[in-house]
Amino acid sequence: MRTKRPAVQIDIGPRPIRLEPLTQLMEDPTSGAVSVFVGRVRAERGSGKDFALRYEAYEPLARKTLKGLSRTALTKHGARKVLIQHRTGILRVGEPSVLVAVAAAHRKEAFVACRYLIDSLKKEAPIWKTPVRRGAR
Amino acid sequence: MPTKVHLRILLFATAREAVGRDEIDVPFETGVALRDVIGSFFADHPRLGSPRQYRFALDGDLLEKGPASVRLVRSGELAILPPYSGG
Repeated sequence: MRTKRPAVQIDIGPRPIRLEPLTQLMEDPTSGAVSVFVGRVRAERGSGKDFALRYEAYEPLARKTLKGLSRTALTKHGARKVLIQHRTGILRVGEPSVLVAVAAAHRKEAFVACRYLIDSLKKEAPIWKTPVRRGAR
Repeated sequence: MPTKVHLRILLFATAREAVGRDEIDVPFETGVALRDVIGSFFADHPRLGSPRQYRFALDGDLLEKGPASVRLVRSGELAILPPYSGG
């Protein structure tokens, strides 16, 4: 017997961003579109090859905030399934730090809800990135 | 006689760098105004700057209207939250 997947999946922690859970969004037969945003650590001019960012979160509140934003995406922006992963720990240039994916009936709702979630995450979720000084790792 | 409660103060990102620790346990008397606790803590750690630069969460809940009306009656956890920069 297949168990019903939750409409919202939130994962905050040190595990690398994973693409496998995206397949769960593809399983919803009523969703004709899946929109995905991936944020990565960007090389800054003059930052050097050792550049890295430390990501940290106040996890209880961050999880609660992202669940609330996801509920809004479901009820107001037409999302049918939401998946958010945000990594914590030290990440080097090119490593993915965040993944937001939305399944919706049509592409317009999928794009709108995905953009709403990443924009709101940056403003409202207690998550921070700070440059890591050389030798501090 | 007032009893002592303990506030575990959590510090993140720039707040942690300003204080040099990620958490500090501070005893206070029950009934004290959270605003006063925060004022005292920021006075002890001037590198934090002004409390107006931060948001605060008590026991995992964001204090949407700030700490002005909150009184501490039991031990708990206060998170000092610098401007967010995730993503």
